[in-house]
Parts: sequence; C-alpha cells; structure tokens
Amino acid sequence: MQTAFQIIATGLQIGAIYVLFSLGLTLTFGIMRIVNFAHGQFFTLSALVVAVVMPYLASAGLPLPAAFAGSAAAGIAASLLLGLVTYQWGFRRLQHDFVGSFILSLGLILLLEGLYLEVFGGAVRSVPPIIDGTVSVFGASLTTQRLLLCFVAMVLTGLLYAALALTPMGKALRAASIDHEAAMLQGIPYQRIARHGFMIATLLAAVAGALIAPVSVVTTTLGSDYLIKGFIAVIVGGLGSIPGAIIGSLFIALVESVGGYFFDPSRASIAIFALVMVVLLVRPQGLMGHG
Amino acid sequence: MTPTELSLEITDLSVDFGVVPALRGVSLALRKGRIATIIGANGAGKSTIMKAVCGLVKPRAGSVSLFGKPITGLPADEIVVRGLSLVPEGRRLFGSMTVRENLELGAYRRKDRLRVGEDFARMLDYFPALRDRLSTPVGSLSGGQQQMVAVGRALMSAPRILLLDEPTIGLAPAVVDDIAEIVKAIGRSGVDVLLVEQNAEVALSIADYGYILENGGIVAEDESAALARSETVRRAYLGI
Repeated sequence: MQTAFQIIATGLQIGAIYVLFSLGLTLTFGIMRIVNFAHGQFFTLSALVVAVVMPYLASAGLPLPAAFAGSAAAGIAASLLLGLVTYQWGFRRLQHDFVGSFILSLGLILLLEGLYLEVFGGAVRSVPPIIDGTVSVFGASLTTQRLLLCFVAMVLTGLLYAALALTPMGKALRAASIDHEAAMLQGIPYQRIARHGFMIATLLAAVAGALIAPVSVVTTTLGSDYLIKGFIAVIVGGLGSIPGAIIGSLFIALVESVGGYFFDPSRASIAIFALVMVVLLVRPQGLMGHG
Repeated sequence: MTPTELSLEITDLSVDFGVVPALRGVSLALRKGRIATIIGANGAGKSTIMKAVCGLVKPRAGSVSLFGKPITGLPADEIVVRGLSLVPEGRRLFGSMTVRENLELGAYRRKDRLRVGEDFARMLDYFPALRDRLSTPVGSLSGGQQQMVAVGRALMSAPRILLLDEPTIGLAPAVVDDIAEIVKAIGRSGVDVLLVEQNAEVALSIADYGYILENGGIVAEDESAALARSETVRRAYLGI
C-alpha cells in the first residue's frame, strides 16, 4: 500500500510539470492549428537562466527562496521575450499552416539549441535545493521541494482552467479554437487572441522550466525530452483539448513511475510508446479529442 | 436614390478562388428599412458575396461600403464593430459551448453592458424555446434551435445590418415558417436584412426586393412580387 502511494505520488509530481508543458502545446494547437515543436526550447531557456542566475544571486547573499524567485523571474522573462520574437517574426505568419510551422519549429530547435550551447556552455548544471526536508503523506515520502513545485503547477493549471471557463477572454480563446472565422464574425479579434494564446503557452513552458531547474540536471537539451513526453501526452489526450492534455500528462507520468519502479526507466519509455499505440488504435482522435 | 438611403453598397465586386472566378463584378445595394434577398442556385456565388462583405474573403476588385464608408479589406472582426453581422451558412456555432456562452460571445466587442443584458432578454423573447436550454451545449440542440442561436448570436452584436446565409436550409417546414417570421420581425425592428436563399419561395415571401445571381453575376433585380411573377424566375427557381 505504502509503495502504491509512493509510486502514485512520484507520478503526480512528474505529471504536474508535464501538465504545464503539454497545456501550452495543446493551447497553441487549438488556437493556431500548429504544433510548436520548439515549445521545449522556451522551457529550456527558462531552466538555463535559473541555473545560471540562482547560484549568482545566492552567492551575493540572498536567501535561497529569494534567489530562486529572482532567478525564476529572470528565466520566465527571457522565455517570454524569446516567445514574443518567434511569434512576431515567425509563427504569426504561419497560423493554420501545418507544414510551414513544422519547418519553422524544427529550424528553431536547431538554432536555439546551438545558441544555448554557445551562450551557456555544454556543462551539466545543477541548482541548489530551495528547501530541504521531506514530508510524509500516507506513508509516501516526498521532498518538500518537489511537493511545493507540484503545488505551484497545480495552482497554475487550476487558474488557467478557470480563466478559460469563466473570463470573456478565456471564452474568446475557446471560441477561436473551435472556429476562428466564426469567432471573428462575433468581433473577436483573432490576431490578438492568437498572440495572447501563444504567449500564455510560452509562459506555461517558462514556469515549468523554472520549476524543474531545482529538481533536475539542467542541460541545453533539457527541453527535447519534455517535448516528446508532452507531445505524446497531448496526442493521447486529444490535440487541442485542455482536459485531454491534463489527463494525457498524468497518464504518461503514472506509466513512467510505475514502469520505473517495477522495471527500469528505459522500459517505462517503451511502455509509454506501446500504450500510445493502443490508445491511438482504439481512439485515433485521442481520449478527449473531437474527431 | 441618394447614397445616404443605402446602408450597404457593393460595387463591381470580383472574387477569385485561385484562377477560378467566383464573382464577376457584382453590384447590389441594401436600402434602409428594407429586406433584400439574393437568389441563386448552388455554386452561383451567394455565400462568396456574404464572405467578401464580412471580410472573410479578400476580393480581387470592387468595393463594399457601409453607410457610405468603405470597409473593403477590413478584417472580419472590425466589420462587426461597424454594425454588420452575418449568420453564416451552416450556422458555425461554438458547439461545445453553451447557448448562453454562444449568445454572449455575439456581444464580445460591445461596451454597453446594460444594453447587452436587455438584448439578451430580448433574444429569449424572440426565441422562447431557448429559455430552458441556456446551459446546454449548442451541439446537442435540434437544427431549428441551433438556427435560433445562430440568429440570436448575430443579433447580440446589435447590428444595423444583418446578413443571413441560407438560414432555412435543412429545417422542417414548420421551423422554416418560424425563421421566416423572425427575419421579418428583425426587419421591422429597424435592422436592414440581406438574405441569401436557395429556397426562392421563402426568400421572396420575406424580402421586399431581390437579385438573381447566376454564375457569379447578377442577372436580374426587381421587387419581390415582380420576381415571383416573372416567367424565368418561376421556371428556374420556383419550380412552377
């Protein structure tokens, strides 16, 4: 029993980050009908900046939580700037252009990973833990730090969900992702909504990157792993579906933690791919997809 | 007729789809306080006129003006703000969203919140059948009710001109009569209506005057009663 809780708790911790990551992918797809494969690079940049700035701030005498907050703000700001630039000069012109956006995002991956390597170097970085200690929940032991990150990710997901369901802007986003021309016929400024949606997606990736930095080794290619997992999560859940992205992410994370416990991580990855194939054979549109 | 009596004026409008011309120099006008209709067969270009007027399709040549001001080339969301609203072909509702959300989205750009509330109540007077369905996703409504939501959504932007693209297609005869009555009522409420229909009989019974569109060009224009009497119209569109 205790083991089961431990596995589920671990799964949820990883899953919370996957959720933030895949929500961005699905949001971009919903509104612009493109898959931004360079989404992981927004995530990586934020993590890299945290990994560089946080030790610097800490050595300047700031307490660790403050140093983390400061570096996270810097990382998120850097990612948002990158997101805005790639949107204005790239993705804005490629809405509803699957092939064009595919080529652009692949090019961006190569370009950005090269740039990151130049700027940040190839060394593996680690970030000092923000908070020490572990908490015991139902006999499962969790590090306080991971629990906190998981909590932040869940709060953000909840906020996004509520905003989409309740605010006029959120409803406009949903309408535009159902039928962007019909949305424009209601006076919804699609161009502005698409930019907002893209930037919210970037923000989610940036926050996820900042949150993952203290609990992971930060490399210039960190985002690629998450892109694959996030993309699978979104496909399983149904491209463009918000609940689908959440369910898909938790599904992937649980398979990983169960597989990782009973076998080893590489077999867990194989299990994910096998299960994805089963899901897609049974429900090609994904669990929550519309068709 | 002075230009100020025209609410919508389309001049020499040409639209191409790739190399295929869809509209060849269409000119027509919507007069204030009247209901006009465009009748034509499938593929004659009726929907293309609607889309070009609303800004969803860019014309190759020609101009569209609203109350004497040009709107050609403006994005669709800006044209709505200027007082023109379209009920698109096939309704194009936001199917997974509720009736209330669909109606509210129609008023997305309006600042006069008080009036929006009044209009919302007015829509439920127009369409009492929607009263109990406000929290239902529109996708699960009947075709007739969906058409009511589509018309209501368009009216929620408080338009001065309403364009309707095939509002009766696929509906049961009784529902077609309901929609026809509603369109007439909208016309009486001071909104100028341009109606596109394949069902010429219904269209001519609603509209004051009409245009006949064939192969992307206007071939005839007259008062509804005169069109309904005309031998060619009777043969080609009324099946008599």
